[in-house]
Amino acid sequence: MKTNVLALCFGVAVLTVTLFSTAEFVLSGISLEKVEKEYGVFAKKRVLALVAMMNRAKDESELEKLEKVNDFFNATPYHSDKSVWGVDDYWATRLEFIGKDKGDCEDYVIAKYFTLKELGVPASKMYMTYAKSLKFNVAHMVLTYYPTPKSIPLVLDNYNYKILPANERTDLVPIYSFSGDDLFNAKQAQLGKMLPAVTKQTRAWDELKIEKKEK
Amino acid sequence: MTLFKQMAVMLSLFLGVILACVMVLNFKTATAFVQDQLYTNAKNTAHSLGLSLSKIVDPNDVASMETMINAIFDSGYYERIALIGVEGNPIYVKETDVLVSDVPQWFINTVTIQNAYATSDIMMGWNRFGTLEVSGHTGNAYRQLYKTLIDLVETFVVIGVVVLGLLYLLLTLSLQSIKQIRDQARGIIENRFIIEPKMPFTTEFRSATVAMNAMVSKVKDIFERENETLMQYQDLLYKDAETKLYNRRYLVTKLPEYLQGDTTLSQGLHVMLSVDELDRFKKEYGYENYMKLIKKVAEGLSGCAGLCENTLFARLNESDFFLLMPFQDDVALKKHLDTMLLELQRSIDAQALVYLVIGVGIGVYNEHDTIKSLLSKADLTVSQAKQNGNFTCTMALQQPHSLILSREEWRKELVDGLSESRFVFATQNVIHAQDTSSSIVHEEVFIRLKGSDGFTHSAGFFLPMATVLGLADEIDRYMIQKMLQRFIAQEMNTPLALNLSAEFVGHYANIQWLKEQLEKLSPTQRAMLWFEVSNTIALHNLEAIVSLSALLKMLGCRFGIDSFAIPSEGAYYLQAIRPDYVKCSVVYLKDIMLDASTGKSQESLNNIVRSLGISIIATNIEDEQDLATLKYLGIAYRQGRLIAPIELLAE
Repeated sequence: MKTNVLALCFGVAVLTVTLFSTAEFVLSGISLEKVEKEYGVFAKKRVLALVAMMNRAKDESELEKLEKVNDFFNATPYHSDKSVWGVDDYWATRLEFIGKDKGDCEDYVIAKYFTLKELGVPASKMYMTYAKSLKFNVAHMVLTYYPTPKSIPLVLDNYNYKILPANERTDLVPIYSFSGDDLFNAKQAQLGKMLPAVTKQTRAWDELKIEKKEK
Repeated sequence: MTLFKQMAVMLSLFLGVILACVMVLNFKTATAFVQDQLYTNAKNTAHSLGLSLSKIVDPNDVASMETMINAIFDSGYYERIALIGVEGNPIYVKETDVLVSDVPQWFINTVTIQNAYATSDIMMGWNRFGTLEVSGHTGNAYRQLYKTLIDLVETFVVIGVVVLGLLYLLLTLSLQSIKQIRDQARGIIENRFIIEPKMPFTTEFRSATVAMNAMVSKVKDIFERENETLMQYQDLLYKDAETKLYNRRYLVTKLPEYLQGDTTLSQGLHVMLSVDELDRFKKEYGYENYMKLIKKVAEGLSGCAGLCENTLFARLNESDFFLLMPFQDDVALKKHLDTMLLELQRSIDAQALVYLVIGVGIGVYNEHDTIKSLLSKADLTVSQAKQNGNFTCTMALQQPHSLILSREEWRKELVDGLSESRFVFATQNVIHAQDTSSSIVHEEVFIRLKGSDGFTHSAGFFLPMATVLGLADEIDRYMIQKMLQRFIAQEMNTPLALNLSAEFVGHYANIQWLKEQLEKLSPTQRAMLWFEVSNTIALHNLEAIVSLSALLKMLGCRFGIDSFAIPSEGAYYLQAIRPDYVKCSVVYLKDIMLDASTGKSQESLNNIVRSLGISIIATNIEDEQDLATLKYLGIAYRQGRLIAPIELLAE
C-alpha cells in the first residue's frame, strides 16, 4: 500500500518535471564557428542535428534514448582508422567522429557512450565491451547496456543497427568489459591511441560538450 | 666576521639551498613516479587478471578463480586482491599487512604514498559476474623510494663536498689579493714596505693593489729620504772626509759602551798607528800621493779590524789611526800588523822614508779604563814604537786580570760556576720620567760571577773568555732559566730585560729552546720578559735577529737593541728588526741631536724611530747636565748610575 503511494508520488513528480522542464541541450564545449572552421559547414550541421536529436530524446525513457542515439550515430559510414587517420588504431573523440563523418567501431561506441551519458543514462549501466565478431572474424567493440547489474545486457552495435539483448547476438563472442568511466578517467588512458602528430598527452574526450541549459 | 667567511657562508647557503631544492624536486618526482607505477601495476594486474577470470566459463568454479588470484597475489607485490560479487558480496579476498623491515618508520611516516587501487569488471559471457579490486603493496614502493632517497643523499653529499671544495679554492684564490692588500696596509703601519708585484685577477682588487703599491712607494720614499738625510749627517758628524773612516768624535761617543763592566766588549786590545811628517810628505809628493799613502794605511788597518767583528776603527786626526778590538789574540794581531807595515814600507819612495816615521803600538784595555786613560796609553805605546825604530810595531801588554788563568783553568772556572750556581744577578732600573713623577719601565739584568777567588766579577771579566771558549750561550741559558724560575716562584710587577749574546742568538737550537721555555709561561708572564741584543750583534746577525724579534713579539715579549748608534749603512736594519726600543748612550744622543751643523739629524732620527714605533732609552746617565739635556731633547726613558744604581738581586 505504502509502496503504491510512494510510486504514485514519484510518478507525479517525474511527470511534473517532464512537462514543465524548460531546460534544453545546447553546445557548450566548442563554438559552432570553430567546428565549421575545422571540419566544414556539413560538420556544423551534423553537430546541430545531434543537439536537436538530444533535445528530442531528452524526456524519453532510457530505452528510447538508446534507440535514438544508436540510430543517429549508426547513420555515419564505417571507415577503418587506417583510411581516416592513417594509423592502425585510433580512438576518435565524438567531435572528430562527427566532424570527419566516418569512423570505426570504437568511435561509434565512444560517441554513443558520451551522448547517452549527457542524456542522463547512468554510466554504471553502460559498458564498453570487447567482443569477437564471428561474422567478420575480427576484433570488435560494442556498447552494452545493463538495465540492472545482473540482467542480460542490450547491445548497441554499428554492424547490426538493431538493439538486441546480448544472448540473441550469437554472432558476437564477449571477451572483456570496461565501465566507461574507468576507461576515460584513467590518467594514462589512450596514450597509445594518439596520432603521431598529436602532442597533447590528455585527450579532451569532452571537447564537444553538450549541456542542459535553462532557456 | 671575515669577508672570506661571509662569502663562504653565503655561497655555501646558496649552494645548499639549490642542492636541497634539486634534491627535494628529484625526490618528489621519484615519489610521483613510484606512486604512478603502483597505480599502473595495480591497473594492469586488475585488467589482466580480470581477463583471465572472464575466461572461466562456470560461474561456480570459484576454486579456479582463487587459484588464479593466489598465483598473482603471492608474487608479493599486492596488499589486497578481492573478487566482489555484483551485489557487493565478497567472493574471495586475499590481503596482507604491510610490513617493511628495511625502511625506517620515520620515513614511512613522513612520505605519504597513496595506496593505488584499481578495479576491473569480470564478465561471464555477457553477464556481469563482479568486480576485481587490486591494491598494490606500498611496502615495495617505500623500499624503492627509500633506496632512491639514500642514493640521492649520497650523490648530493658528494656533489656538495666537491663543489664546496672548489668554491673554497676559488674564494681563497680570489680573496688572496685582499689579504695582500691588508698585509700591505699592515706593513705600512709597521714600516715594512711591501710592493705587490703580482696583480690580482679581479678588476676591483687590481685597482686597489695598484693604489696600495703607489701609496707604499710614496711612504717608502719618505722613509728613505729621512734615512738618507740621517746618513748624510752621520757622515758629516762621524766620518773622516778623506778616508771615510769614523773620526775621533765617533770614537768618543762609542767608547763608553766598550768600557762598561757588563759587556763582552770590555776587554781586548787597542792599536794606534801614527805617522810623523805627513805635511812634509804632502808638500813634496803632492796631494795625490798623500792620499794614496793614507788610503793604503787605512786599507791595511781595515784588514786588521776584520780580525774581530766588534772592532772600533777611527782616524783620530790627520796622522793618527786608532783601533779598539774586543779581541785577545795579540800574536795574530801583531803578525798582521808587521806584514802590513812591511808592505807599506816597500810602497813608499826611499827618499820619503828618510823623514816619514810610522809607528804602531798595541796595548790592552779593560773595563777599568776611561777614554782619557785609553788614549794616553795608546799614545804612549805609539811613541815607544817610534823609538824602537821606523815601521815597527810595539806591544805593551800589562797582563790584565783575565789572562792570569790559562784557557783550561778558565773553562773549569766557568763550568764550575754554572754547575755550582755561582753566577748571580744584578739589576738596574730603567725609568720613564714624567713631569712630576717617574715610573719603572723595566729592570735590566746583569750577570755576575762569584769567582773561586772569592770576588764577585762583572760580566766584562768573564764574558769575553766565555765567548772564546764557546760557553756564552750556556751562560745565557743559565740566566734565562734562573729568571724564569723567579717568575714562577713569585709575582713580578716590573718587566726584566735580559741581554743575549751573539753566540746565543746565532744558534737556532738556542732560539728553539727559548721558545719552548717561554711557551710554558702565561701571556701575562711573558709580557714581563724583555730581551736585548747589542747593536753590533743586531747588525752582524741580522737574519737571526729579525726572526728572533718576530718570535718574541708573537709570544708577547718585547725586544730591544742596546748600545744603539746609527751605522754607516743607515737605519734599514731597524726596519727589518722593528725593536720595541733602542738604548743609546747619552753621549751619542747629545752628540747627534745637539750639533748645530746637523740640526736636521735629530728630526730624521726622531722620524725614523717614531715611524717605526721605537722608544729611545738614554743610557749611561752620569750627571745632572745629562738629565737637563735629555729633558731638552724630550727623551723620557732613562737609565744610568744617576737614575738608579746596579743592585744585586736577592737570591
